[in-house]
Amino acid sequence: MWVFFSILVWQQPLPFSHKTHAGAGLRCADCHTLAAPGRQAGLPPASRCMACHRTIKAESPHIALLAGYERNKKPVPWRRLYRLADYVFFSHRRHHVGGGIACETCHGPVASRDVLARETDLSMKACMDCHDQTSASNECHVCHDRY
Amino acid sequence: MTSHRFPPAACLLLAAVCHAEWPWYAGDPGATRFSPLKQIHTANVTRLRPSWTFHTGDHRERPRTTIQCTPIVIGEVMYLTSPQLKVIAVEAATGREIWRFDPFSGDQEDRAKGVNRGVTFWEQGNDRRILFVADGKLHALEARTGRPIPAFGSGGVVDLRQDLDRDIGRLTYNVTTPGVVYRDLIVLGSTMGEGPRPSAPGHVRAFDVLTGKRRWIFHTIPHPGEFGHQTWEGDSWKTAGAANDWGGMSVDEKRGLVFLALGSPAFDFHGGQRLGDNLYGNSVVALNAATGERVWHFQTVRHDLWDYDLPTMPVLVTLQRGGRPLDAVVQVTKTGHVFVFERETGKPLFPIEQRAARNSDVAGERTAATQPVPAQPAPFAPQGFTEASVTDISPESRAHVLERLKKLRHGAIYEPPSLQGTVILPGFHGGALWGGAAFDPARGRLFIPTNNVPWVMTLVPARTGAGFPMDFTGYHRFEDQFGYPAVRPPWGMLTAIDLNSGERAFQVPIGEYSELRNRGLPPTGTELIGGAIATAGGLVFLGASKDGKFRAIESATGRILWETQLPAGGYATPASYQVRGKQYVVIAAGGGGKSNTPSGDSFVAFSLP
Repeated sequence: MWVFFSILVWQQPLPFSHKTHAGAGLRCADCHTLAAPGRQAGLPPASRCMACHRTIKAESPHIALLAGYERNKKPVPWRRLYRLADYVFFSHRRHHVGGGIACETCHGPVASRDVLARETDLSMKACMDCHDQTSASNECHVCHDRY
Repeated sequence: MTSHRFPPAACLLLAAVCHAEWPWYAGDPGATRFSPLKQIHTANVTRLRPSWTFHTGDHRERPRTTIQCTPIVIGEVMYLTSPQLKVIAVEAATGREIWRFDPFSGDQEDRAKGVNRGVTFWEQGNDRRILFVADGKLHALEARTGRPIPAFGSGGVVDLRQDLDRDIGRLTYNVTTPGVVYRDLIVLGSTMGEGPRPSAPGHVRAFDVLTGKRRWIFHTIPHPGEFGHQTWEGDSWKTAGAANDWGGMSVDEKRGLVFLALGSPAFDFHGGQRLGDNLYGNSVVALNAATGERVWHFQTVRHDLWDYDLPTMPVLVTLQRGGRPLDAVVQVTKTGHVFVFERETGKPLFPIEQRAARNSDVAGERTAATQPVPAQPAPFAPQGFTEASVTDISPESRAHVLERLKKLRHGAIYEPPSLQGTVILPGFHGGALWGGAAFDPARGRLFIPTNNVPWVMTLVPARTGAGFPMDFTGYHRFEDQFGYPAVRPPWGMLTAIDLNSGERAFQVPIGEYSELRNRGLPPTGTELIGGAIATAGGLVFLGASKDGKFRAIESATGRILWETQLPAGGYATPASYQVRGKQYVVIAAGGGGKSNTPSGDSFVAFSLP
């Protein structure tokens, strides 16, 4: 088990723990901002992390690595766990802000995980099942440009 | 008062002057997609080069946008629609922007906006209007400025979800192909959902171009007492959707007729909740353009279960019969057929047979016993999928497809969808698609961009409480393990048919995969998304191929005389016009779309140096 999770940890460029950060009181939107138009919940720039880590655990080699990304103005090369097909329209703003759907609904219990894995099904069927359950439209045009 | 700027007869006589414009989406009211211009011809087309390129500036890569617009040209101004459905006026000689109008107010970047194939022009004296639809709303703009016309509808807008003779609530409703004008009317079709869930009816309506008021409606799903109502069993007419005209219409201004090409009724793949022949689904319909009353109709697919919409408007042509001219209507179909009718009566000009069709074994379904098939012209696309159809581009591909085929139903066209999975060929993109056909009147020849790509349709029982009995697993192309179509190539072609004799003149592959060519395979063609135009210069212009090339093809032989690489896939139908003595051929290069290649935002106009 340790080996399994270690592999996942090192598949990411830094051993970031959502559990630790959520436990410290951070909320999802503190780091994953919805920049206009709000289709995507963004990944935080290294400068955002360093706003705290300039003082917190500043001696950690991983924080030194993070500081390097900030210094060189490079994004942290996080490995994406969830990626919808490029012909799907999905708006975090419409679902989360407009629809009140919690992050955990689509991303699983992130706040209790040290290491993230893909835990939920984001297939078209899963989306349509959720739309059915919430009486949202399941017409093609809602998520796809009709060509 | 007319939006057709010169009478057709005068056009033939004054070809060098008139039709310098491209005033309709499909070139003219009869939708011939023909230009009488001949400055660019077979002997000089190799010298064609880009004259100007206009960038709309609003394409997007995730999800990819596309451009399906054919611009219209009025005087020296071109009107086009952009990837995110802005209407833009540019100088036709230079591509310089004059004005733009965005129908989406506020922050709406995070939603699907659909596609749009262009705009409609209307004029009366100095009153010149651009009419177009986005997001289910009909807009009327001043052609000179792009400003909404306040007296039209409500502040220049008519909400098309209203006044449909059925409450459609929040169901999707839009128009993708420009409407047609007849006198002071604009006639509109529609597009809507076609899945198992509720969808709007595809009734066709005419609106007053001055006020935006509805002037007539034609129920494509007939109401009680109307002709065809009995073809919907029980109360299915109340809930069934679609049977819509999404591919455009044509107009015979002299006879006062508008011709519709209607799509399949919804749900596309299971008709258990709409038993019967389902008129006017899949029908060519001639209406009195002033009143909306039916004059004649012909149903090309009865009780459709294959999404075999009529995907493009009927083409109005004049043929030679017994040495005399005869006005006719030509309909090309996804099924790969060409139906030809006498224009006033709808009488078929080639025999049409009723062929027996297989019944379905899906619960609640009842297929039509027969389907109509023209005896002539011969089908321009394969009529079904058998082992003999399986790809031969490599032994590995062939073996892979043959193995998959063992688990699928297959056979002749009209093999019903099944729970096992059924191979559909011609596929959901034809045969013919919305690019339709172009007609060269001098040669009597019809040119049809033709697809040969199979799909697999699999039905599944709907979940309990869904409100409908059958669902489906989605739209899946039938491909080999490398992503090439599972059928023997060519996969995309240009077909030419002599409409006077009914004989095929040629069929040539269009488009290629460079990696297959490098392996020594003969041209395979690619699926074609877009249309062709014909010109008096003896040329057919066609983009549409997945390789992003734009080609000029000799009308007489099918030889490719010229080709060029576009900035992105040219998934649109070109137009040709003349300004200040120079002929141009323009095409949108928007990429994306069903071919899913990188998106673009260009309109490229070509001319001779």
